[in-house]
Amino acid sequence: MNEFIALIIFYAIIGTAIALYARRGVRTQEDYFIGGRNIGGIISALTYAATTYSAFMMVGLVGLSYKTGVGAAGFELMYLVGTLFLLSYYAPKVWKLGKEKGLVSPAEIFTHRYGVVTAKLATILALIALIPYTSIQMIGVALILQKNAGIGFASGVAIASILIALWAFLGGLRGVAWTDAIQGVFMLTVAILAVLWTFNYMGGFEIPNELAVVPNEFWTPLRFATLTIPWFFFALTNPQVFQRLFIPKDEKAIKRMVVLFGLFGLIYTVLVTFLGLDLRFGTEIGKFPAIADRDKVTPTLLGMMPEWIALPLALSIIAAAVTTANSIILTLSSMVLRDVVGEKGKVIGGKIVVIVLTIIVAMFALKRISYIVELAVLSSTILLCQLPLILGVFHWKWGKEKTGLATLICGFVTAIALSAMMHPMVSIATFCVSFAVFLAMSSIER
Amino acid sequence: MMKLLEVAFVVAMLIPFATHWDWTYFYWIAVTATYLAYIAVRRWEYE
Repeated sequence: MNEFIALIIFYAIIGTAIALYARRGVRTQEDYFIGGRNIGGIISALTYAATTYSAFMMVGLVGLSYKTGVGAAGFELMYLVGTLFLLSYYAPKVWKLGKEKGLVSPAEIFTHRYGVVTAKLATILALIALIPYTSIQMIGVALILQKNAGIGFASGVAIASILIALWAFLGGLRGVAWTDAIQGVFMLTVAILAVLWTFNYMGGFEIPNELAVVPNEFWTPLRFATLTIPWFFFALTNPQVFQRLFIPKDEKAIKRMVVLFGLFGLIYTVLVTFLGLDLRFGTEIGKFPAIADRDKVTPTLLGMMPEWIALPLALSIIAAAVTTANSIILTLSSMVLRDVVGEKGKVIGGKIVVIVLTIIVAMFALKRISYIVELAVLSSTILLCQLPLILGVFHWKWGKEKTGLATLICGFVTAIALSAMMHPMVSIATFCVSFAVFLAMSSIER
Repeated sequence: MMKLLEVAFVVAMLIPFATHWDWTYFYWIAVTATYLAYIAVRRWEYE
C-alpha cells in the first residue's frame, strides 16, 4: 500500500476514535456546538489556533515569503498583534456575555441587539463568505491526495468531505476541539522539522537584500493596509473563531487561551516565514530552483524532501485544511440551525446541517468554478461589514434592526462591487462604508 | 495609559515602512514577542 494512504488511514482512525470518545455526554445544542462551555484553556487555545491557521500558512505564506520577502511576515504578524490586541480586551467580555445570555451561535450576539432578521442576514453573509473559502480547503486536500496517493480528484473531494464532516458530526465541538488540539501540535512539530531540514539542506539562512526591507515592489503601504485590515479584525468578524470565545470553562481558561494561542501563532508564523525566506536563500545560492508561481514553492519543496519529512509535511497541510474546514462547518451549522431555521433544542438538526453544508462545500469544490478563489480571498473583507455591529454591542447604545440590516447590506455591496472592479482599496472602503452607515443609521434610530 | 501602550505596539509594527531597516524581520518578531509577553504578564491586571 502507498505509504501516504497508510498515513491518512491512521490519521482518520485516530481522529474518529477521539471524536467517538468526545461525543459522550452531548445532549443539548450547547454541548454540541460549544462543548457545554466547559473546555480548558490549553484545548481552547489549540483549537483556536488550528481553526485560524489553515493550509494557507504552509502553502500560501511560504510562497508569499519566498516571492515577496519579509513583508509577508509583517502581514501575518500584524494579524497576530491585531488579534491579541482585540482578544485581550474583548475575549473575556464576549465570554461573559455569552454565558449571561446563553449565546451559542455567533450571530445570536446580533439577535439581542439588532433583531432576528439581522442575525439571519449575518448568517447568509457568513455562508456566502465561508462556503467558497471552505471549498478551497477541500480542493487543497483533494490535490494533495491526488499528488501523494494517486487518488482521483473527485475521490479526493469525497475523502476530504468525510474527513471534514465526520469528527464534527460525531463529537460536535468537543470532537473538533480535541482533534484540533492534536493536529495543532502535529502541525507545529512538523513545521519545526521542515525548517530544520531546510536550514541544514541550504547550509544557512540569509535574507536577500531586496526582500529584507519594506516597502518594496510588492509590499507598498497601501497593499499592506488593504491586506491587513480584514485580518486585523478577523477575531471579531469571523464566526468560527468568534464562537470559540464561548467555549472556555471559566475566565482563567479564556485568558490562558489568548496567551497560548498567541504563543502558537508567533512560533508557527516565524517557522513558516523562515521556511519561505530560507528557500529563497536556497534559490540565490543555487540549491533550490527559481519558482515563478508562488503556490508551487511548497509542492517543489515536498518533491525535494526525503519521504520521512515530506509525508508528514503533506499530512500537516491536510490537517491544517481539515481543522479549519470542520470548525467553519460546525459554526455555520449552528448559525443556520438556530438563527435561520429557529431550532434551538434538538442536536440531530445540527448533525443534519453539518452533512448538508459539507455536501454543498463538496459541490463547490467539484465544480471548481473560477470565482470560488476570488470569493475565498474576499471572505474576510465580506465579513468586515459585521465589525461595527459587534463593536456597537459593547460601546454604542444606539441602533436597532434597521441599523443592523443597513450596515450589513451596504458593507457587503461595497465589498462585492469594488472587488468586481478589482479596486485596490476594497477592504478600506468596506471598513469605512460599514462604519459610516452604522453611525448614520444608529443616530437616526435612537 | 495602558491602552496607549497597546496602541503603541500596533503602531510599532508599521515603523519599518518608514525606516527600511535590513533587520525588519527580526524587529517584527521582537515587537510581537514583547507584546505577547506583556499580555501574558501584565495585561489582565488592568481589567
